[in-house]
Amino acid sequence: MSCEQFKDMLPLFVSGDLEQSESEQLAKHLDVCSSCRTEFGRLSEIATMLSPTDADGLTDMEKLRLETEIYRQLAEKAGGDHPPRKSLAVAKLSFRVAAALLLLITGYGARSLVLELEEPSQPTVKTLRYSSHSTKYRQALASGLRFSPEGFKVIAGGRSALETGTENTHD
Amino acid sequence: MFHLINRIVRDREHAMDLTQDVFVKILREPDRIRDMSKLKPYIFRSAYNMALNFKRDLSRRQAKVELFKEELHPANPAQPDQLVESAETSAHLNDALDSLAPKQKSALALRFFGELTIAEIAVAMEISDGTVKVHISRGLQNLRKRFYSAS
Repeated sequence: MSCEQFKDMLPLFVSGDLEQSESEQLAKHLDVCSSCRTEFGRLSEIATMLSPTDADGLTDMEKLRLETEIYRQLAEKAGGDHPPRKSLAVAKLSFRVAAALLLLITGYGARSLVLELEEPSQPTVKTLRYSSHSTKYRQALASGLRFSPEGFKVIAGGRSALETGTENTHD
Repeated sequence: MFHLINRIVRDREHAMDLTQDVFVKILREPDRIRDMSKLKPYIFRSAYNMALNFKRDLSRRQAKVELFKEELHPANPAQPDQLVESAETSAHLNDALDSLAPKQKSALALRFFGELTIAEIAVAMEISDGTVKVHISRGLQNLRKRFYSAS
């Protein structure tokens, strides 16, 4: 294989998309060709600059904020856009898509949502409504309460402080 | 997905808003998702397109604001050298990216910012795996040439 052919393989080598056998051949060539090594260095630098860093990711608080905002919008949609019978079906479909999407967006959070869906007819003890930007909203999520289109359901093991919190009001 | 949007719009708050928008948009059109196995490429394509549109609109708005600022405060405040250098490198890279052919730019953004596989990009762009590789390969080569000639 000629040097030019090896050079053509370099971009896919740095992006990690070259077949293994080709990668091995190219690695051997790089050991003996300074011109290709220079090109490899430059392409690697570009690839590094393009790749996401830790600083590009969401912080835990941002993930929580994003997730709760999405839940809130979902809840509004499920509760407002459709007549009651249809809304349940649409909400179920939406929640299933939502669960998959949340995994892609934040990497977590979908499992509890799906579990919630599996038993939609379970009676709830109490429903609390808090503004999604409030501290109580975050506390409710963190304390094991689960969000539903109606608000936070107080479930077994939920924090008693929240059960006696301001009911059906925004703080 | 946030990575992809954030690297294009370069503003965390706007990127978070757009991430939500992508999500809501898909929920409004659940019928479009016929095959759940293609969900990821589909939403990354939506995210990419929405981020590009947003950036275009934002650039237009910012150009107007900058003009206004320039009239009020003509002098630029001093910045540490390292920050300036980093911002300049980043700006060079963005300029070089923007100068690529749209399909090369899309393939690189989905591969590097979105961290999609070749097969996922092929679904998102509705082209073959081989063509995705060609776009990534030529895109990186062109980016390298333009970036180093600019700096």
